[in-house]
Amino acid sequence: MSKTIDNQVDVYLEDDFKFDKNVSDDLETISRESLTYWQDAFRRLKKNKAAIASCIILILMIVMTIIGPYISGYSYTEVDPMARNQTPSAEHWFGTDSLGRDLFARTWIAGRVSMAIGVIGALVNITVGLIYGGVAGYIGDGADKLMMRIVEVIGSVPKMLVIILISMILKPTLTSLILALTLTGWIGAARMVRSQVLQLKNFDFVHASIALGSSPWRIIKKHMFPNVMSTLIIITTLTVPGLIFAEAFLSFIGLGIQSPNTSWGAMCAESQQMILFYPYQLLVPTILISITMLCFNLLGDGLRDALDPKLRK
Amino acid sequence: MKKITTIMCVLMALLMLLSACGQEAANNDAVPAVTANSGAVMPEGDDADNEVEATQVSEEEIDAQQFINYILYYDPSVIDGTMTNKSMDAMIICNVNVPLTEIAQGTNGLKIVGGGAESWEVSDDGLVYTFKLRDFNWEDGVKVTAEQYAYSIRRILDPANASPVSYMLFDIKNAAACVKGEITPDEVGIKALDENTLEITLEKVTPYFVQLTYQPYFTPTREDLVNEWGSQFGTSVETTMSCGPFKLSEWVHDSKMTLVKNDAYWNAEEVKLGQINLKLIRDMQAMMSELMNHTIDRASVSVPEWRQKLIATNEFSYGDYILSGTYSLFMNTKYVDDNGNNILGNAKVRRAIAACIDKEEAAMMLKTDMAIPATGYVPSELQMDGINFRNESGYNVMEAFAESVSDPKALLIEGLTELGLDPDPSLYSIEYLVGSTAASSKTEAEYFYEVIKNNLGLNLEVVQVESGVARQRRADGEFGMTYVTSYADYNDPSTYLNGWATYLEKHNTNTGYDNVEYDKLIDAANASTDTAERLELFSAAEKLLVETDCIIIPIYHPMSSMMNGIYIKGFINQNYAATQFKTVYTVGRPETN
Amino acid sequence: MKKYLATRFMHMLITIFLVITITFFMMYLLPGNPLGELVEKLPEDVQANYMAKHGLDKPVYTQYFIYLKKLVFHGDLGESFVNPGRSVVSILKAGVPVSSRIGFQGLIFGIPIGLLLGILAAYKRGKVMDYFTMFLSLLCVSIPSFVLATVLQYFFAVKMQLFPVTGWGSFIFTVLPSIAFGVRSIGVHARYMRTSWLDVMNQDYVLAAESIGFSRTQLTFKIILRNAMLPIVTIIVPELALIFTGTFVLETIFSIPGIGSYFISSVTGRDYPMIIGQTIFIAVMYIFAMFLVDLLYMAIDPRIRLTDSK
Repeated sequence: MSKTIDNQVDVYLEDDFKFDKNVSDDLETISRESLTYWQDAFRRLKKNKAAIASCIILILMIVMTIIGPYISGYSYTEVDPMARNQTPSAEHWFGTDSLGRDLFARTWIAGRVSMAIGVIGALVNITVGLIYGGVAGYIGDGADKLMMRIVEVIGSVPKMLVIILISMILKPTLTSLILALTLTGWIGAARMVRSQVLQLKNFDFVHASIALGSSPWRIIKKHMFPNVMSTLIIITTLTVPGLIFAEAFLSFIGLGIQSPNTSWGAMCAESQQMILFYPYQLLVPTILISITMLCFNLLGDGLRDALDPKLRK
Repeated sequence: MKKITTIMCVLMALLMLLSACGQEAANNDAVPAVTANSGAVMPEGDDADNEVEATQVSEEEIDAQQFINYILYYDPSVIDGTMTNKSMDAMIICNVNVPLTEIAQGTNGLKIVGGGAESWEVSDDGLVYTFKLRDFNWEDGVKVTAEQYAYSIRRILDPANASPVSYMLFDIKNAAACVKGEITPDEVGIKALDENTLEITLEKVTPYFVQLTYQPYFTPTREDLVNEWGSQFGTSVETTMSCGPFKLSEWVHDSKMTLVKNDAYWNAEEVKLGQINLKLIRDMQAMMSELMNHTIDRASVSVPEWRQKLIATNEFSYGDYILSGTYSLFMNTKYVDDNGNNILGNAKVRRAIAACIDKEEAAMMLKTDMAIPATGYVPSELQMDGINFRNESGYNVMEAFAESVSDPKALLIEGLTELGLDPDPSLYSIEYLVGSTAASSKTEAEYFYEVIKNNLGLNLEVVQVESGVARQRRADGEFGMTYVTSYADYNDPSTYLNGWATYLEKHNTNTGYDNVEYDKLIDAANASTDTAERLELFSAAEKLLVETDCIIIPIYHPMSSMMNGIYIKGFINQNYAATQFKTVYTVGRPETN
Repeated sequence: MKKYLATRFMHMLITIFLVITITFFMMYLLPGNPLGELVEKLPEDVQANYMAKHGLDKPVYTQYFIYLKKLVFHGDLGESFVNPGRSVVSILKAGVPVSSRIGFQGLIFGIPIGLLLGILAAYKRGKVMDYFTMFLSLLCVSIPSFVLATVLQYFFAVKMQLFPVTGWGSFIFTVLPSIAFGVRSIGVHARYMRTSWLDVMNQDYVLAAESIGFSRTQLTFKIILRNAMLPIVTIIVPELALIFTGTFVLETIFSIPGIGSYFISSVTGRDYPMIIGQTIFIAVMYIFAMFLVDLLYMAIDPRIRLTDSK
């Protein structure tokens, strides 16, 4: 239609309008690129400075456990009768222990074991716990009852007995130690997951999903999993130090990592009796355990915030 | 910004913690080093108040309240000399009950005096001992008789009771047969001739027999009470009867025990302590802290740092003495490693390992100044027939090796070549069994690992298991090398050397040792009554063990510092009999809250 | 409901039976025997006598059935091998209340503080308070209990002499060990509560309730707390039931006559009746705790029905 303004006649013809291919429909919608859940999570994680800092520190520590034992110039087994129980100094940056061994080298060698136990052990616990608890909670009914009874049986058997048996059947190595520690450790995670799943499966969006015909696997993957994540992450961040301490406890009673290897827990156990005389011997491994914990927790918090779909901005 | 605040807080807290700990540097140069004293008697480190004669006591101002706070290392299992051989149990038993004889302080050292027995004599052939008991009663008024002492022995040897101390009595006639069930307990060589006369017949002449009579198994037992209390006998205050200087007044399991003076004791006037408070303390650090605060009055201190710290307070008197014990490494001659090699089967290999360990350094590293390097397997303090075995024998294994082996590694290679094996030591690995769950054992093992690696190039595969498992493995010979600290059961070298005779069915530590020569020496030594002859035979046997055949590498003899507050007097320093409290009293105890 | 309780009880019995059996046979798999130190010096015959006296010379299956018979028909848990004359029951009776007391006092001290810190952190999320409380809770969790116990003992007992260094008796003996025990739970509960609270806070139904007009208090207590407690309940109940299992280290450092040290020493000492006795005890407590948790689930969250299917 044309309009007449001041006797001017504007005639709009079809040719005046060109089809612009570059303009799409969603120009008017305020949105961003469509991201998958994981890409979105990662993006948010990057923004969390504490989490990134923790990540960097952890990576640094892992690097130190790899190269640390070599940079001080002493080997971690080298015994020196002249240099026993020295406080930190220029020659021995962390001091020496009762056999005159350099604590700097020993600390980082010990770190290898502790980190391995903490991380691998936690992963094992979480994975097994997640699967077991998820299945039990989701299926419910008889299967749930049976699975929980099994959990009770496993939980009631004396852990000491299990650990001693394992350390006797298998040669005491890092693997058997991790096995012994995780054999009963997944129970806590399983129960937590089960309780969450029991709650979740009654939510409407799950009912809706079922009504739409999704397979149980898809429901678990897409709906249960992300919602369980936050609790699961907290469990992980608390399990890692839990495992490091469990190994320390085992070292305390002599069933921990075998010589000549050592772990932060074992170093704590060895130096605990002389804390009044050589506190630095206990302080060093304790601080490192604390730093590891701090970082895992900050990282965990960041992950939780990033992965929690309810917090999408 | 907030994250940085968090990190700052962490650093601040850590800095504060570090500075607090920095004040603990305990470095006191003015402390005397531990000096090795020989002989079983130690003068008190501070004031020379050895004599415990009655006259001297009344001259001092003893405290009005006489009590002592002492340590229990573990909860006693049973207060019954016939059914236990643990040291804490023995301590209680010998204070609430009365063994035949006792150890007392003499002018020149220790001497054995009468306890339940007033006097005793030996027959001419040395086989029959007759003890004359004194007149005294149990706390309920019943007389203590010779029959009760005899009943204890029979009770121990009765196979149905499965007493853990039965093996200590095998010197008594028919004892071993009785335990096997071949004869009845009544046929054992112990008899009450009358109420006050006890006659003991031995299997063969045993020069050290009297040394056994101050032990808890020679205390009297009331058969009527055993029948009345059954399996509860000796497990609580209500089921323990006393005839000794003290009696049980309280027993909280795993926590504490209280003994009070027994006024019915025959020598009650001589007993000054009114009460003994025994506290169970499990943690060494807590124990030392309590000692320092005087909430515990006396303890054995084996950590050098604590010893120096306590001495520096000038509130303690102490006696350092060498224990009758040896920490040794053992090698299993039958050990086969993963590749099927039996390198420990060759004596040269074993000697190389023994020679490469510097005992002085080892003693220093493992114990700082609380041990002396071992000169032989038999402890340096052990006596034989009243003479010091080590001094008289003159044998010193460290010197012997220093002279004979100049290059341990070369000797090792010689040995490997003899076996027809590749002479490269790094190819071989020996399992080192650590039978203790203490963190310090791990450190000790790492020391030997390093020494043997450096000096010989051999690998030690350290396996740490709990003590129960280790015991089994040692008995079964399932180890390559291991270590044991063995203490003397009684004051004679046979307690160390008899156990290695090959004809024994069982060994505590099965090294697969098989030498008829050794057996001959031991048998001859045990049959002989001549001191000089026994000395020679035992010395020769010891040399076989630690040098020629070399299955044992003695490392050190542990020392202990018995420390008590300077206000504590009267303890007799010895380590063969149980701790006696009846001679103890306090003067000038400080007020503690 | 009755039917549920009955079947549940049946299940509990079966579980306990399984636990006893598994533990029994695992125990006998361990090398070594209760003789312990005695083994070394005893001649063969005496050892044989000892084994016969305690029925250890019979084959494992026979011993198993003898034990079961004693247990089921006489309620007799047997006597400890290592501590002659003391029945397993009397040892448990003496030690469990002691350990439980430390645990209980520690939790009374730690749980409320932890939960409050967690809620506080959740509300002040992202601010300094949040980081501070989370850092505090991290500290609580990252200090090993034996380090904390040693430090507390040194400063407050040895140096300042405000508390006894070791021992057990009146209330004052229980203070330091309880604190050492409870500190860790502050950290644990703070973190769980914060997460759980945040989860619930951001749910739609909370927003809905707020918009309807629930007051702050009503919102907090009736809605958020109830829902946030679910995961906490999962950990608190077993924690309470099993408080006596976590006190071993404290009992060593403070020389407390609890049951914790028996857990370790009975296994290392091969004290068979004691091992089974305490296993049964723990199993009963644990299973009962699980049961309680399930009941609490149903009470807290009506959406969870354990007797019907999805």
